[in-house]
Amino acid sequence: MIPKLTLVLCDTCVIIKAFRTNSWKLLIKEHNIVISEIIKKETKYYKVSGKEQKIDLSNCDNARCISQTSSDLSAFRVAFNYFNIDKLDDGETELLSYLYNNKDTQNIQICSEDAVVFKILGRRLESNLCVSLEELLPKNKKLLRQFTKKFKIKELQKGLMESKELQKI
Amino acid sequence: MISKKLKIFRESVFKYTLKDVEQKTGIGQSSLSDFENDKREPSIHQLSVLAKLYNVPVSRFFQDTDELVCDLVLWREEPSDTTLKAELETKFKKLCKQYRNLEIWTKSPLEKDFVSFFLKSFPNDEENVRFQARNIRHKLGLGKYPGKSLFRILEEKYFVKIFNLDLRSSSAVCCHSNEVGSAIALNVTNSMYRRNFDLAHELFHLLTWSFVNKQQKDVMEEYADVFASELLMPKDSIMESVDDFLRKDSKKLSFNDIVSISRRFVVSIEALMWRIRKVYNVDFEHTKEIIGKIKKYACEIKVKQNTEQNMGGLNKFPERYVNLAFEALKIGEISTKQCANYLERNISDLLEMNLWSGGDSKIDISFV
Repeated sequence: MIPKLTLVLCDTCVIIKAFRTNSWKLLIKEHNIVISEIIKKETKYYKVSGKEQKIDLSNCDNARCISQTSSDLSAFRVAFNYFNIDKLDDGETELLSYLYNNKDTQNIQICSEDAVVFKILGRRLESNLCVSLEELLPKNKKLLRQFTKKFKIKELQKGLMESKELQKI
Repeated sequence: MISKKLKIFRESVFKYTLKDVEQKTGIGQSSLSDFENDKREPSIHQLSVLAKLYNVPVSRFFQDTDELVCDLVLWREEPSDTTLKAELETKFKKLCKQYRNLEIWTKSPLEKDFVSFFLKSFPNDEENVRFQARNIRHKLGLGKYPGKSLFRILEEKYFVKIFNLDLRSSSAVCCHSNEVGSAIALNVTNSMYRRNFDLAHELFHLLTWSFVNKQQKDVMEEYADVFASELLMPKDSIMESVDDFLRKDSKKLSFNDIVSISRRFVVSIEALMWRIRKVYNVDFEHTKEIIGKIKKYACEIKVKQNTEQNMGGLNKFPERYVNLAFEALKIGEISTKQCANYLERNISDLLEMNLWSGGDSKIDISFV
């Protein structure tokens, strides 16, 4: 388990998965969870066998909500001059922007299930800034492949390989 | 600058007042005014909300240059309401851009070959239009019943982007640019037969794209209809089909015969009748009379066509677009949430699909 001092930014899929596996309360109890303003406002429900189950993040006292300004995003875009933010949803972009604008002053990681996020970080040799949901939960929780540590490592390595290929060019 | 772009989209593109935007987004008028006049900067959330309203990605507000995404959009019947027109056009352009993004991210082929069919000179009369239609039919390899293959060949072989959208009272719209390629949107509420003809009609506009602003609109529209008719209903095939049904004793075709032939060519009965008129040199007034009689059966026809449409399971997004979206997701070129946005699906639907269960095992095919 990662130290509790670390802020953990959670994207939409992680939040939905946590709710689906009844792990959300455990997550916010054991870790410093951070969600973005966009994700908080847009993540309303998840589905189980086609039926909607409500997600209410409005009163998450134990989950901090962050937002970024357009200047913050502008600075983030400069830092990622080769990366197309259109590949990400706005909520995810907000989280990554916060991650990059605060990584030098805080212990912070992003919890995602997206290969594209892991690849970006792998490309930038910053694998320490991300964590899988599997690593945040007790070992007995069975998770889909994209939420596992193995998946994270694999995609980080792909990003690293792409970085090496770019350097050759 | 963000402020400038926000103002351009609101005032020039959509012709919204501050109050309109406030009502649609929940962002106060004073905040909106401050954003547009650089007195205050919006949060990413507010930018996201405004981006959704204006049908652009958030990144659009940060771009230094004015990116032209299908600057010119050609309407079959242009909406008279300027706001509605802006909403539909920006939606269409956004989908075109997203489709092109997916092609680039998955390193899929772009439509190079299709551009080679574009006409180098505008047809000077109706006969020339028909000649071009026959020529294109042959080049595209559409076969005996072009209506059955046109959509598939344009989408799957030449990567023309074809969407089915609710265009309200307009039947179709098209655009072409170097940035996104060629794209057509057909009205999803029209019958399959109507949409097929509209597809062929818009194809003419794409093929003559460089002449769009140089020719009179009514001439372009008339020629596009002639082109579509000639393309979809080859003379030899029409005559063969008529012979198949013609009753030897009375030399007549029944109403059901006409319906069957129209289905063979996947065109409306009205389109077929006008083509038969041309091929057999039938009297204009007589043709009109027959069409008038056919329209009396309109309810029955509509029920049948709607049933077929429903059974066909019409999708807004082309199959190729959907496949590219999932491909981009699997190879880590788009996030799950963004993939859901591109497909206008809820994120939960994609998570329930368990897309990663197969791993990324590859199948190697050896060609001997």
